[in-house]
Amino acid sequence: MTSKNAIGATDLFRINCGAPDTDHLNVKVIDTTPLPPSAIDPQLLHVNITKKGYQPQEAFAIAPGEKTELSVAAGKGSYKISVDTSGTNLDILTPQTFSVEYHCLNDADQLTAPAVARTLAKKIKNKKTSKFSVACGKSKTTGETTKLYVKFTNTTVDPAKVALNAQVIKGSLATNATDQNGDDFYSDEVNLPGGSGDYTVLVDNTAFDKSQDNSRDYSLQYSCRNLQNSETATETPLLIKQFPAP
Amino acid sequence: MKNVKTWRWLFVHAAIAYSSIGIAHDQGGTLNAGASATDVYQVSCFDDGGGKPYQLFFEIKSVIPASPPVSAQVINDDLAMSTTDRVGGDENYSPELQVVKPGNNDTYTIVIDKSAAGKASYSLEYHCQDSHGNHTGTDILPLQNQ
Repeated sequence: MTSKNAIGATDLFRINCGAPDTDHLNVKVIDTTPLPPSAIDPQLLHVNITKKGYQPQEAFAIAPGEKTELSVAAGKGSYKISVDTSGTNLDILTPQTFSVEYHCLNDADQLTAPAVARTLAKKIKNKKTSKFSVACGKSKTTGETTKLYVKFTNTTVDPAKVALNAQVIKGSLATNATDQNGDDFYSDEVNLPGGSGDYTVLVDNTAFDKSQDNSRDYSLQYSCRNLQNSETATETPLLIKQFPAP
Repeated sequence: MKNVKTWRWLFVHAAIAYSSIGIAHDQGGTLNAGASATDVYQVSCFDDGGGKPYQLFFEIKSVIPASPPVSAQVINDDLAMSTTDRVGGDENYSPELQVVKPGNNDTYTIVIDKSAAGKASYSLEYHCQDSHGNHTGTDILPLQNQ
């Protein structure tokens, strides 16, 4: 699918989840617009996760919009996370921002303590190191933590890049997924617990420069699911309207 | 006597100028640090005696410096538009848009979201207008706050 070349361009879809046991609509989106080659080296982040007595996990050269997943099987306790700007383009002086979404999990990949995934958002200047800790405990219902799972994202906004957003809406509920152009990965998946019926999905972007071609090529993945997260009857999205109209 | 007439003249022209500008509506809010955090509002447009509603004007401003770009989408039936403020903390709003949907007692859904994880705060400016761009009756109802 390709959205229109205009500031504010928005595609509106309807997706029907007809099965009565539908709990939520799961959606993710990817921006597949070909990226023009850049003559400027990007800003980069390096992340390292350690726990005393265990093998550390790290990832290098995470550029703006990119994410990486790390897992350290070191049980409950305090994990140290360190982020620095190794390898970054030092000519770009803008501080970078990043987010750390962490899950303390048992052997069955169930959340332990804390009982929900937590997200930390931070900022870092060139040549600096950001150090902080996250703690995992024991849950009364799901038992001991066996590992820490981390989704690390370089959330630095590249002013030259356009991000693709997808909103899922039903009644008074809504959620949003974003994909940054330039990689082969879908956005994070989002779930909207609206039950059975019609969901509205909007696809739009952060285009800002009228002189550029702001049309975006994209692909949506979607499925209606029940409480057990199994797929239920999912109709093909119906494109209702594109703004601006041809 | 001349002074009274002068003051009366000033008052009348100030009133005319004020009614021409119209009343801007501002809604502030905050999106939590989660990447998918989304706020939802319902805006109702009605004839308050000044004219029949014709369109909804909207624009959004991201308030916190270095926060993720903040976007607003407006939907009415099968029509939807989006606008984004990419730079937080400056004085500039996003590009302004008007969703044209003539009709009295009409409702629009407004969704506010952002393009990355990280806390964001916003100021949404919105108002219902008649076909000449004059303000008409405008109400807002928060539906979701994340």
